Amino acid sequence: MRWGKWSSIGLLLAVGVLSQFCNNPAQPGTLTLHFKHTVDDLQLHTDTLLYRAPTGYRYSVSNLRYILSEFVLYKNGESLLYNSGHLIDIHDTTSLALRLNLVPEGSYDSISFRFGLSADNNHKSYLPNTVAYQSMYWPKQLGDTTDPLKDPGFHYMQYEGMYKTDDNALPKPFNLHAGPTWGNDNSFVVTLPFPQKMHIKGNDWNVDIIMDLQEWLQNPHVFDFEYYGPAIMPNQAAQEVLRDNGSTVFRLANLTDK
Amino acid sequence: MKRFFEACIFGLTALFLIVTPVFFSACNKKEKVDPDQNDTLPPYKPTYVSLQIPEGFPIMEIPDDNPLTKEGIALGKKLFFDPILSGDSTQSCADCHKPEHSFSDDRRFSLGITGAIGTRQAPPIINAGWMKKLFWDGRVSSLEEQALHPVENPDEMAATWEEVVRRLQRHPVYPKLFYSAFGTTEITRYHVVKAIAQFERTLISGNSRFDLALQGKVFFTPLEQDGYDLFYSERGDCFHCHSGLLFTDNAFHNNALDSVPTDLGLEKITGKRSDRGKFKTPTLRNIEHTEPYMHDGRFASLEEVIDFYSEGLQYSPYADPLMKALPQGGKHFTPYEKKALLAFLKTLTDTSFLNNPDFLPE
Repeated sequence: MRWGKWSSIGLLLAVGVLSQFCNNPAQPGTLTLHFKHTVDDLQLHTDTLLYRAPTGYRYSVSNLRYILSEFVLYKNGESLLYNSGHLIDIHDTTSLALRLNLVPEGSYDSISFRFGLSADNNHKSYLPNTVAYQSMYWPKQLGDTTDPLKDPGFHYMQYEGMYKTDDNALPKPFNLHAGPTWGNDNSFVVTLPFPQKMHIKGNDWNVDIIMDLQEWLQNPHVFDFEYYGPAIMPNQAAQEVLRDNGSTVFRLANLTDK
Repeated sequence: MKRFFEACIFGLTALFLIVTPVFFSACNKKEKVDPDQNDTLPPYKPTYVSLQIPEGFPIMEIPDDNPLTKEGIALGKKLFFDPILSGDSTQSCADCHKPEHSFSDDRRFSLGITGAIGTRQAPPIINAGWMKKLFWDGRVSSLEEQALHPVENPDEMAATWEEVVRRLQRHPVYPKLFYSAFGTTEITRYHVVKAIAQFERTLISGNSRFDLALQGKVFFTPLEQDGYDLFYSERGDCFHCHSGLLFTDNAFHNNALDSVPTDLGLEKITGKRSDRGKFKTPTLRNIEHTEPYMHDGRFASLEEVIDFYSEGLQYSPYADPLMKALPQGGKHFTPYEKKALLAFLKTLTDTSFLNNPDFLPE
């Protein structure tokens, strides 16, 4: 009888523990990316000639719009792809955050994304058909002119402002419009390690993705507004300078579990 | 057995006689009674409408609280062309937004009912369903909100909404039309602007020669083709502001019209100095029929507009960086380039829009 009582309790415990395992499925969470912008590590203020380029010119930033795509999260050598694009516009606050839903449980150590769109994905049907995205269309006259039927896709970035070469000069426009010049794939992948492990278990995480606009103008190449002029869409050499400089433009900060 | 059968027949007949009047009575109760006109109205059954969006056009967002219905669109059209909305019942929306001019005004500034002259050119209402900001300075965020303004503007229709609603309510036809559109005979200004907005969302133009060329149904002439290529090149550089199939980015730019802008434009709304002289990019669709041009109608012809971008840019610290030829005063197009641009712009004329009976007064 005594044995029977303890065996019943043991059985109940075993069932309880087992059911705990069975009823405790993996708990996905979310990661919200917050897009922030600095110039030389200072918070961006638009339309003022506050900043000094490596060439010595003072410059201002008026507009900044760019597309990121192929967000990938990494854990233990595994990768999880969020295969979508996102348009960020500093004048549209709704565009400054992107939530990645249903991130599977686990410990993640890094994130990557593509600046712009790969040649395979840079076509109109890849992104939502909205007025905002249509205003990022890349004209076929500046795309792959050997294939007039090919959809040239989208600009990667429209970074616009004014600069002056010396204090007495009148400001002139610059337009760093990056994209698939003459059909070239000038997009690139950025991989950023998290400052600490991101443990997902049914919780919501946030991280800042910071673009430092000064980095487009330096490191490794100096981008000279005067040399390249205000219209660089047909200029593959200028596009390659931006592509090379882009590798140090982004960084992560403030990874937090809400 | 026979008696039982007869009893059943009798019972069923009695049941039929009792139930039938009750049933019809119940049906009649569904009909609403108009208290003012002591008349009966049919059940409210609006016919929902899906717009035919031209191929490749962006998704049009329709507000959840103002779905398109056949009845709402018809009411909106009637209101749009009816002077009942103005203070002295002499001016309709269509007096300044004329269908033959792509729903814009061929006058530089429109005249109000008191003879007051406006300060900006009446913008065209074409593909307006895609606009997120209305008026040249973007001060409102929906077609419904936009339609509230001209009625009470003393320089335009100079009415009051109270009086307009009173007139509509007493009208022999309007209460029934509002009932058909919105399920109520108690008219409010919000029903009026919702109906007008529904009509405006139907004003879609996407059947120009340009569209047919994109679809491979016609071919550009060599001059048009050169204009097309120039338009979409950095040399012409029209496409950044007049982008996508709507030929507008729905954004605001200072296009270097004045060295000292007198009309503050967007700055008046945002209070930001950097928005001085910024105005909403107008669509180029049907541009051949929307003269005069710019927010103040300063250019009478497309040739003058092209000359401005070629040689007339005025330097100011507020000019948009997209005005890349600002330091040179313009693009300095050759005479041939000007002709080609003009030819291309005329391919955006959509005569099927201009002549669409659905967009013209009855």
